[in-house]
Amino acid sequence: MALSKDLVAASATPLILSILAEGESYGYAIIKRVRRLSNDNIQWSDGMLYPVLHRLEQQGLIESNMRTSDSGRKRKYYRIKDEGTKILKQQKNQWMLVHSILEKLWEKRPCLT
Amino acid sequence: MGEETLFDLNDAIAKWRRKLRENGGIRRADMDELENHLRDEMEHLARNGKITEQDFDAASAQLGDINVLSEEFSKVNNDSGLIGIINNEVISMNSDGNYRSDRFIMMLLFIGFCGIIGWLGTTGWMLHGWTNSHHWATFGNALQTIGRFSFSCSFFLLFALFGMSWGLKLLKRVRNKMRFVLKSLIPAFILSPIYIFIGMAIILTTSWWGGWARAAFIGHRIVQSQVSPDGKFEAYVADMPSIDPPNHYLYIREKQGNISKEIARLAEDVDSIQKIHWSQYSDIVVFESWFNLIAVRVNDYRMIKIPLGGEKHWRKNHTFWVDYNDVTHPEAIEFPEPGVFSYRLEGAVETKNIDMESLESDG
Repeated sequence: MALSKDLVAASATPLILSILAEGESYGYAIIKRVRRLSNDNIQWSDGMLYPVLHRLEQQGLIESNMRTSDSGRKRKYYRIKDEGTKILKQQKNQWMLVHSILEKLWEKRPCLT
Repeated sequence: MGEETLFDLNDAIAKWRRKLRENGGIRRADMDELENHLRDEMEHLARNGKITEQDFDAASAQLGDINVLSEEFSKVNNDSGLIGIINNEVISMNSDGNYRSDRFIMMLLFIGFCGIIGWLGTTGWMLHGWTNSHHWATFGNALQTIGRFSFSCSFFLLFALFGMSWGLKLLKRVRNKMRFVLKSLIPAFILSPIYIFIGMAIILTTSWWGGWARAAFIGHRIVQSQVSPDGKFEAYVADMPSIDPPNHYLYIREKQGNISKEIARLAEDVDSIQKIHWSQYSDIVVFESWFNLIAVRVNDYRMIKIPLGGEKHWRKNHTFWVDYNDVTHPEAIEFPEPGVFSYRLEGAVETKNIDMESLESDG
């Protein structure tokens, strides 16, 4: 089951911030983690992740630094900032609210007829 | 089994990057990051450690359509103009974390060559045109000339110093050095008239900008001032902002009411006030300049200008010149009675009396 384009776009920020809240990471690893967690149901076009990462960096939610990886290549690692943690908390509350509303609406009701 | 052609990964990546660059909107640093991602994905897809063309196609497809990528990146990288060029072409780093050397070196060399051309041009112009001029006539003038010259030259010397030294330092790593030198040198020479013009403009306008800034924040520079014996008037000289000072304006201020009247303006860059003489009756003031005596009757501002010599003429090499040696300065200026002043020139026996009453009003 593939997610709609709108839902993919809306969930990108909380997903990235949540992954970075676990520890610093780089683009390829973030994509892999999302795929694994969603059992390949969230299919981002890989290149689209980077504009989102750069926008979050411009907004001051995350920061980056270039380092040499174990494979010997220079990689750009991203890390969540305090402002990002604050925004993640807000987004978490919002998504939980939507989730609880939908859960109530979709729970089985007794049939009146 | 058919013959397998060798797949050149670096060539494929270079072509892929060229397409990205042609589409625009993506910085070099972004391309480096995407290239890293591509290589990670290919390593993941590679079977038996061998990367094939199919792996590259699959990885680049997974990364996304080049047009869509360009569009998305251009939304984030919305800087344009000079800042965009600096970001994309100069500051961006490659995958090794080093500066993009080729264009960066060319830019530094170009700046350095511009500096040398500007410095040589400006120095040459200064030495040719100003060597014998009045800008070196007195110690003060010489000091001002040196100051303006140094200011202008330092601008270009900094260009040359940093541009050339950084460029040459980086050039050591480049194989085809002459190509970079020529690519920088040729446009610098083509544009050289602009740098020489900029140098001249800086020299000429240094005093002017300084003068205007001073006039705007502090007021005009009053170079001479004398109050009349009765204390009712003040004669003063203001040096107005000029690209080629001095630029003296003569004023009389009526202290009651604080009203200033402009009396005359001396020839800019040529004449300057030496002394102000007040009549003991406080009715006449004489401004003594290098080339004229300017007498003013203060109750109606009647004025007379008496030339002291000093012809302006063109020298053989077509530069403007004033002959300071032809001037005969007054030895004595006196006020024998109200409304009259007298002067005697150096070496003259006769004293000339000027009756201000007999003059037509110039005021």
